[in-house]
Amino acid sequence: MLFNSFQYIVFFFVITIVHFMTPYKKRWIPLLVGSYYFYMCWNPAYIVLIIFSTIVDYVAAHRMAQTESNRRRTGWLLTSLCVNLGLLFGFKYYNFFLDTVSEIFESLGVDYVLPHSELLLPVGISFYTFQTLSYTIDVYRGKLKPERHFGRFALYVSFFPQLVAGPIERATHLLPQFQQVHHFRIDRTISGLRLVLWGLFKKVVIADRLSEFVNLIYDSPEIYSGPTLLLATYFFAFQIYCDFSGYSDIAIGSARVLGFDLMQNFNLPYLADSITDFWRRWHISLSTWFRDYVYIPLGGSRVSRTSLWIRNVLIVFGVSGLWHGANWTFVIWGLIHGTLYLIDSKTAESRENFRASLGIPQGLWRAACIVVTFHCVLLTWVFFRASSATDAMRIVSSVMTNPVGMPYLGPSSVATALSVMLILFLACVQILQYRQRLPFYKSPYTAPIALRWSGYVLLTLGIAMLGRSNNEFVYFQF
Amino acid sequence: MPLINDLAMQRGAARNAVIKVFVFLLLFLAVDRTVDAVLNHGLQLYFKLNEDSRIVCVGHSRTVLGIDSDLLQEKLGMSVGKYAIQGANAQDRFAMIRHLFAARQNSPECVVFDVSAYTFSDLGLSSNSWRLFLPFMDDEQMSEYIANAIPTQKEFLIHKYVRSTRYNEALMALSVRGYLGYRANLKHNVVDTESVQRRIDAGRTLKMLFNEDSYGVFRKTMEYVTSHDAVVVLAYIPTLDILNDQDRDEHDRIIQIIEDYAAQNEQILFINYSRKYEHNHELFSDGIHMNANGQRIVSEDLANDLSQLFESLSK
Repeated sequence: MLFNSFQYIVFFFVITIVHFMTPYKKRWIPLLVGSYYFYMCWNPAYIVLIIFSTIVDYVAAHRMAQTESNRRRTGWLLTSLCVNLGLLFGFKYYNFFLDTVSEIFESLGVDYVLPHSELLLPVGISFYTFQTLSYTIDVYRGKLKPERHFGRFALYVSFFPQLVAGPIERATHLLPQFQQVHHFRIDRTISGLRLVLWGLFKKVVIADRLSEFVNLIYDSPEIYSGPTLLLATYFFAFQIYCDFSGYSDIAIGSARVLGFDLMQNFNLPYLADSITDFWRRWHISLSTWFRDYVYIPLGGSRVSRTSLWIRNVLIVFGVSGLWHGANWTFVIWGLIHGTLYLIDSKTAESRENFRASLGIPQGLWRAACIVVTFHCVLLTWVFFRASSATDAMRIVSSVMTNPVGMPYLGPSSVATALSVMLILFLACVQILQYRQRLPFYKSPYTAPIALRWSGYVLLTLGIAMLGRSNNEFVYFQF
Repeated sequence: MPLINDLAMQRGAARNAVIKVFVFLLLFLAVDRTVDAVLNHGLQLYFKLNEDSRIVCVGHSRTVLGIDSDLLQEKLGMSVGKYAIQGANAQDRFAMIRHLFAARQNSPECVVFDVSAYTFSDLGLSSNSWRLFLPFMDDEQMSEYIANAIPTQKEFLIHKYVRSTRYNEALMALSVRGYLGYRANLKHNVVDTESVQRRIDAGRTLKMLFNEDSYGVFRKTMEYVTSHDAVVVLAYIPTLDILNDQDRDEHDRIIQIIEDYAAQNEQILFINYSRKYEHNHELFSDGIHMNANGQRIVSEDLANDLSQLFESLSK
């Protein structure tokens, strides 16, 4: 079931009514049933995977809490890790692994073809796997007591607003909310629906529209000129942002109506003034997950040698790339980000000294940094979107060596011009958000009533007239 | 029940919320109707659907970019309309013809209908091109056509009652053009033949196919027009020689079918402008569309031919 479908509107309306009509202590039941139904709308059989993961992690966490033996605790943690990561590997990375092994055999002159898996990739498997892993790791570390109520724990694993594309919630944040009493509150409902509306607009009006041009160009990059490829890459940068942040907004808004607070997943990432800053603002729930469960356990930046720190950073970004997809393009994307992160961290002080020595005003310098950071991120998006590393290199080379001329504007230049206008509109909204004039994520909302109501009507009209319907969210594939 | 208790605790806020929802719906409905009225009127002006033109050019993007109806009107001294829209397939054009005849008090005397070796292949045209005609779904003919083409009844009802959903950016742009009376071809570029060749090599160009169903729809369209005592001019607006040379034999075969069909009916005339201009690359903006200069030259030829036709008809 897609957030941008009529089916979801009906489902959400029914679940909200049933949720608030159910006695407080039993509210986990309609939410859990609804969440399972939500997932089964995509593929009923794969609900078994979620239930299996839930049982394994529930048991593992309890066994860890019951035993004093460190070896046993570690054993249960490893059981949970092996089961969850094993499922993730089996469904998501098995074919990628086989292809890589086959290529290695081929390069050695051995003709050996391994059988591929025909299994479908379960929607959202990377998201719920990481969410459950954070729970067992936190219990192992003693940061969290295991949840005694199986139903509430199952709901934590499968809570429908964030089940298939995040935000990846921590048990310490979400689980306690399932025990609290939530009253139906009109102010929360309005503020949640406002977020849903804005998320829908970003998804169906901006992202899906941009995707049409991007898909056309990126499907055959060899036949397009440098300026066209550059335009498509700019479009993709905004497509992926609007798609994913749109999903997160709908998820956060839906949960807010039901009385739950999910973590903010995006904080104006294209207004970041460095790569480090970018990763504080982009897919926050994932970057903090990697920080807490991979980077810090590896030693983080508190290591004896710089080479170890470099290794840690590259491992985190490489694995983060692989998390996004079973393709080398994603790994390269992650490693480029890692390299940029290292350069950024190492040069931060000298850049500031350089600015001070030239007497460049802080505001101007920051604006320049935002532009440079955005274009560094733009370069990495080429690898993220291209079908292969060869295609990505072709695109980068074409943009760099053949940047002159008018871009091809697609089958409809009006549609492309409208896409540009929508990006400018988004930029204006983001700047207003940056200046705290449009605090979407805060409630009560304090903008003047005329502005608010014009905004609601404009967004609704925009969705009605300019929206593209029923395109899946890009991040579902992860 | 908890929900009832929660609402009772916020009675004032709940009442305000209900009022706000009601006001929002009213406001949205008003804006929705206004947007529809304004945009629809612009489209009527653009397509000259509110005028009883003596000649009407019906087609898709090749007519949009290939025929200058204002120039025809000026040269011929009679009202000329152009009901053409990018992406219309054979079925759409039949629906457009029926809509056109139903919308007028006086039927047009002549319909100019563009043809090419791609006329009977709907490849490359959108399968949901019926969306282009949603603004006219209040018309009985169009409503019936859309109801048959639309995938679900739910979607039909949404378009019926939320009128702004009938428009997209292309239709909005045409509506604005209608108000401005601006129908000019804005393509001033000259086709990049190397790029066309690359597309041919990559197999990414239109294919010439003779689809029996499309041919059947074409014949029904012709029969409908001639049964209303109108003359049809089948105008072969040029397509680039490089494209035609992809499969010259098939090209010639399809054009011959059209020519033979026209020869069998006194009310149908076939004129081939492609033979004359297909090698003149300066006139094309891409492989199948004329640029502004090409449009002017083809339209001048068409004006001369129509002038002779009307002279012969008056005799």
